[in-house]
Amino acid sequence: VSADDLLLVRRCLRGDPAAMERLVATYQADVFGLSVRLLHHRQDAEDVVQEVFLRVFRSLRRWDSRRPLRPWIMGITVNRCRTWITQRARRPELVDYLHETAARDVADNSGELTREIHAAVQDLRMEYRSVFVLYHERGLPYEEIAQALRKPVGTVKTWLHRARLEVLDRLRKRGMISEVGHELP
Amino acid sequence: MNCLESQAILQRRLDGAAFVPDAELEQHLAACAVCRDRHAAARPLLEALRVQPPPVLPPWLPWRIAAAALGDRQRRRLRLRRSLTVTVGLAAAIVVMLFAGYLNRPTSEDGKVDHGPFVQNPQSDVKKQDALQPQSEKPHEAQPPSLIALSERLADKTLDEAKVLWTAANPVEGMPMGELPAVPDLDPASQPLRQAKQEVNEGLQAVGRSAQRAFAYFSHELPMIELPQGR
Repeated sequence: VSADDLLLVRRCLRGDPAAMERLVATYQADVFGLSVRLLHHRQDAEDVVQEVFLRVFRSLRRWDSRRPLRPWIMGITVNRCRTWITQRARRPELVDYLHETAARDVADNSGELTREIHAAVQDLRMEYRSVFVLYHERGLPYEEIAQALRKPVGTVKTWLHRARLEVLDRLRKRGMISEVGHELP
Repeated sequence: MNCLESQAILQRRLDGAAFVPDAELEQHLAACAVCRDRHAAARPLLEALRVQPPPVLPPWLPWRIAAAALGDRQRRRLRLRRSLTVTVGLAAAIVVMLFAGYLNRPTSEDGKVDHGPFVQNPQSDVKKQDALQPQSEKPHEAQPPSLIALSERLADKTLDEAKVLWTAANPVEGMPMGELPAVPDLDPASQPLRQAKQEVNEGLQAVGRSAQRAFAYFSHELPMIELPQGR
């Protein structure tokens, strides 16, 4: 754990507003990026980010200072997203409408392949999706993902392996792979 | 090379290993369409993930989060302070009640303070010494009659059953059932029970008197609550 993180946490525990803003600024991109990819919904992701940081500040005393802060926060984010998805499933009518409107926002002006990848990731089961996004989009190493999800590193590797195969197979079935792409360098 | 080995190489490449040409792999890919397509999709997948723009944070979101966190902290502190105040108030009320009960503790007829059953005093020591004395010295008339009757009934019943069992186990010629050697009196066995009941009664009476006086004191001192008309 870096000394900066420790100092930042101590200041947050004392109720220093500047430290709280700094902690939010440091990790908000990770939390928001993960939430958007897991929920596939911008407005929901914004709400979840706020909830995540509230929970972080409430339970900051329980953080094990021997472990890095980022996996801990990402673990809270994954849990909150999972809960949010469960709650969202109970109110399908409203969410379907919002989901449609938000899907256009998420599918910004990136290419068709990116959209297909997002759709493929969205169809993964929650564990695979979390691991895939944490590794490939947030750049967390295996060990930190294992800490965030509280799973063994071997399990994380297996999930990532399966998630990749599912994504690749989907891209293949959707015709996103050109014949030229078969050539290896 | 088989599909599993091909997948292992694919995973290593997706982990960031270099796409190094491999003759065995090429041979397998030429024969296996599934592996070939997967390997073909790996590089575009990595490239697309690398270049995709990160989700853009709304500019107001950090401010909203910080404000919500500070507000939540203040609310929690306020709640904590309120619960602390209530707890301290309750504790103070209990202390005041106990103190009032102590000031208004019941006195005996001769003007001496009755300390109740929980305070060590010479009288209770005398009682304890009495209790330690042989039980047969105490007259039966001093005990509650219902308890004595219950104990005696139980003792008689047990004695009858013991006689039946004794006769069945040791049949003696010429001795009719029921005529057995003298059985000791079971009354002393019920003496500690009687003594305990008496002491509990005395203690409860003292506590009851204290509570009654405390209640009378507070009901006298507190203002009357006027109920609205129609109830």
